Amino acid sequence: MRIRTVLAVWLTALWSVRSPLEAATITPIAHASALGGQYFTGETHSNGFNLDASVVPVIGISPRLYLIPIYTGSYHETQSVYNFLGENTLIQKQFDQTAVLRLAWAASAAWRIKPRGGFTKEWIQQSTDEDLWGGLFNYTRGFGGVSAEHVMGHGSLEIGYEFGAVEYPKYHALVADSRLTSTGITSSAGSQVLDFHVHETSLQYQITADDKLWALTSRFTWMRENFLDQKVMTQNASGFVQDFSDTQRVDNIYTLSLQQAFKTSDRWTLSAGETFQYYTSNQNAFDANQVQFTSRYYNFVDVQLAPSITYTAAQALWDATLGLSYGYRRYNHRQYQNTEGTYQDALVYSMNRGTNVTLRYDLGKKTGWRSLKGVHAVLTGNVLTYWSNTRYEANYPYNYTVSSYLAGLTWDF
Amino acid sequence: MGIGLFLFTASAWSEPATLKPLKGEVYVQHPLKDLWEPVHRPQTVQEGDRVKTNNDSAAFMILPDDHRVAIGADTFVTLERVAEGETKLYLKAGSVRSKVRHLQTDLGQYYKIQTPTAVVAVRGTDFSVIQNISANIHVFEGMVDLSALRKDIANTTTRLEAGHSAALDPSGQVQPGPATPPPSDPGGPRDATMPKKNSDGSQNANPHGPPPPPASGLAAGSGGPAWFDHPESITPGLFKPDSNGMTPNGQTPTRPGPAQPPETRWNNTSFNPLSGASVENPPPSGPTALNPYGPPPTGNTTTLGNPTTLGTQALRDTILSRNLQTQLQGLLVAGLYQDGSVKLGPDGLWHQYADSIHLSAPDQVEFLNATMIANQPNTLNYQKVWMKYNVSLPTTMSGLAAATQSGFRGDSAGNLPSYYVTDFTNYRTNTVDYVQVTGSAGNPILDSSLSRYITKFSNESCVVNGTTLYNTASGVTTYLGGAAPTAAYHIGSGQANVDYRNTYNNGIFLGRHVTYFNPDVQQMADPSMAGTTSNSLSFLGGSTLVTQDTLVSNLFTKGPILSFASTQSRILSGIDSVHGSGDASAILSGQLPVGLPDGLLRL
Repeated sequence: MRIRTVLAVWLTALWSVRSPLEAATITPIAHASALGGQYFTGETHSNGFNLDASVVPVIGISPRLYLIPIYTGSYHETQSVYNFLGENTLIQKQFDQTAVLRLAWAASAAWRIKPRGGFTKEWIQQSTDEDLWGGLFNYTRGFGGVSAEHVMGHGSLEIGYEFGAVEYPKYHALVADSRLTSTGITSSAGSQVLDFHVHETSLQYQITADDKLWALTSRFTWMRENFLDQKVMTQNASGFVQDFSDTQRVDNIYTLSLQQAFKTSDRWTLSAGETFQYYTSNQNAFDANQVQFTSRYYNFVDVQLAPSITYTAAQALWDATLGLSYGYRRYNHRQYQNTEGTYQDALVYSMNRGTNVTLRYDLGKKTGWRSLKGVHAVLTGNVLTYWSNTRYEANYPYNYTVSSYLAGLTWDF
Repeated sequence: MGIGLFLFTASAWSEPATLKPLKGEVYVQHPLKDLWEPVHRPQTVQEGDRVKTNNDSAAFMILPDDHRVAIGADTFVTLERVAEGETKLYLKAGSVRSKVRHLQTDLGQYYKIQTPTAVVAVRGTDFSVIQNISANIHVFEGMVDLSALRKDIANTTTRLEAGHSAALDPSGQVQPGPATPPPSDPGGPRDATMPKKNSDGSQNANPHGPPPPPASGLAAGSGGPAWFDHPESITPGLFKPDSNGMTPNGQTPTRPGPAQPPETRWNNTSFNPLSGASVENPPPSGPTALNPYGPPPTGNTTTLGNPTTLGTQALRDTILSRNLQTQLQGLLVAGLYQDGSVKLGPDGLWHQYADSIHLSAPDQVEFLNATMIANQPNTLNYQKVWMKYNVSLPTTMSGLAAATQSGFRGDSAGNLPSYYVTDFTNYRTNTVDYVQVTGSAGNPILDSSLSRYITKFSNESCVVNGTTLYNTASGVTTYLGGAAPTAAYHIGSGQANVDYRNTYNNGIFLGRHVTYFNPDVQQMADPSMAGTTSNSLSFLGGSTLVTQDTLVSNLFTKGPILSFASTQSRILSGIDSVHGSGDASAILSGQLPVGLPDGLLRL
């Protein structure tokens, strides 16, 4: 009797859950790609294949309320040329997973509220004998936030806030190892120097023309990263001795991204993007080898430009995109070093120039097979050159060219 | 279980429509697809689909709620919302005529047609919309509310009743047209030229009273069978209020332009949602891809619009946010490489480094040099060096470098060093085994055979794991085993297994193996790497060299004591006193460094 009662209550509860969900609609969106190729840097190269996938089953609870689970994942054996870690950090394998749960709610005709939460986990294998699951820079990022979007005609203004917590469980600063601090030469250094909490505030405006022949997007982001265990380095009165204060590192990053696209005809689409970034940090640096103390070591301004042009063939059977990128970065306090490592008076700057060519061929249209609908054959090549006035490259390459080509299939559903 | 039911529950409020081609060429384009598919027979169309007709073509649609839509020639229409009680079409160009049924506006149901300039909201009627330069509306039955899209006048609504026409020009101004009552309209002609505001603030094109009762099912203006039940009867004249070829506002009709090209979503052809832009990743700090899925949903309804657009926008936002995060985290990690905290070792493995300098007194300096294979704490090796000088040390980098360089040996010109070490301790360990060398009462003594000053310590000792190999007190040295060790190269198995070792009488030995690597090319350095500039720090090829320094002893229990250090670090810590390119070439040819703290040069 008791079991029947419990069962009845359970079924009643289940029914109450089902009722509002029965009206739900599922609109699946999926993308996948499988590309293989080679990555060249100096005299070395790596071969491999890359797999990417994303699935977004948009769940309509009602016309005013959508639940949007998002999954994206990738497995890469061949790196992008746009690898900020540089030539010396050629990554062997990379595996990442991101899961996000978003909610979209039309609060009124003009306002949409969009809360979200999720996490990212990334595994990176750098050297051939390193375990992918034990990679030095594997990290986990959990985040949650909310955005409010104001719809205005053919445009929208969106303001958002997101909190994130980033943890690198495998990386511990060696200088903080208790076996070293016991010597008395190092002290007060943090161990989990890469872990931080981030507060991201964003403001975005986008507008598309009535005829959809042009679209503009601008986004301003302020990110404040509060490091949990990275103390600010100081110098003592002698001028070249390192020490650590009780203050933790705090970075503020201001990024303004502008994007434009113009469809000039059936065949040609022009697009461009500009990013301006101002990076500030209270962290200093001390070069024990050169006995050089640099205050505000990480501060820089950065400008990136990326124009591109796409040609679309008749019936969109194939398309080709030529993309260019140009960038300039100037550090505000960091002096450049000559080949011997000696610091010079001028400040460090770096520049980058890249070219991308991508060809896509619609196999579904070509063959007419329904099973190939949305499937494209893709060939893409990239060349990227970095150069800088810094010639000291024992630790990090500042002047190099890398290239890659990838070929394979992509699928859109 | 609830989730399972939830996932597979069919739609209750979003339903497909049926598109039937009537004449000529009719095409449909589905969301996220570039292809315009020809429609040869009746087929299902969904929310988000686009329908296009060419010249001398026509089509017919049956929407949820049994609404009927006739689509004229040269028409481009998007099904922005197709659901039970909710219909919204975007008429970009051309003409459509709608027969709206079963609309309960009091329950929030709506039927709207939006054009580039106007929104026509239906209140149960039969009406047509022709979009060329202006939006031309004619109501055959019932009434519609007409409003402009222009923001400043969007709140002004013009009510248009049966038998009346209006045009909304690109500026958003409503131009009432002549009343042309359909034969079935019992209300007779109405004056639509003097719109006035209703009590709800809207303007009424018919100031004379309530809207006429619903008309019969006959096709207004045609006199024939009801077009919405007999689509085969649809003719081009169906969309016009009369047959004299005039538009409702009395202007000569403008022929709709040529069929618009299929709309292309922004960058859809090159957008990779996983990277945020092209198939290959863009610069993480660079501009990101433009919104490839068009604008956010618009309109004045409290809904979210097309779920496909919503989902792709959410995915795009997620990816772009992640790209920025990845870029910044990449910068963070790159900083560890730039400051030398992480480096590729000569063994091809990733090593962590810690170099630290500390002044314990004006004439005393301490160095810490540590290395560990990443993520392998049991591979930690480190050394600490403490040195006391004859005078206070300079407080500039170049001064400190010069002072430490001459700490144990003067230059080849035979000059007396200004700075020399009087006391020191060098402790090297693999955390289990250790070698500690100490010295005190140091003085530079001219070695005439070398034409150099060599710092000699009156008191000195070398201890390995607690065993004293030699001890000098007041200039008198005693050795383990009772006699000075023999010094010789020891060649083990393997090409690079060579060390220079001191072997004592009782068989105890301590050897040292130093290899200079060029990490740029992943190979051992050769004498050509020796620099020729006057900067002493560059004699060993400057920054390009990394030193692997190995101590071996049969007293060790764990294994060799290793260290990896850049040339500068070694010079600063007084280990390599290099005073000329000749010294550098000699070292790179296989001779040992001439620094003292390792305790191996005490022969």
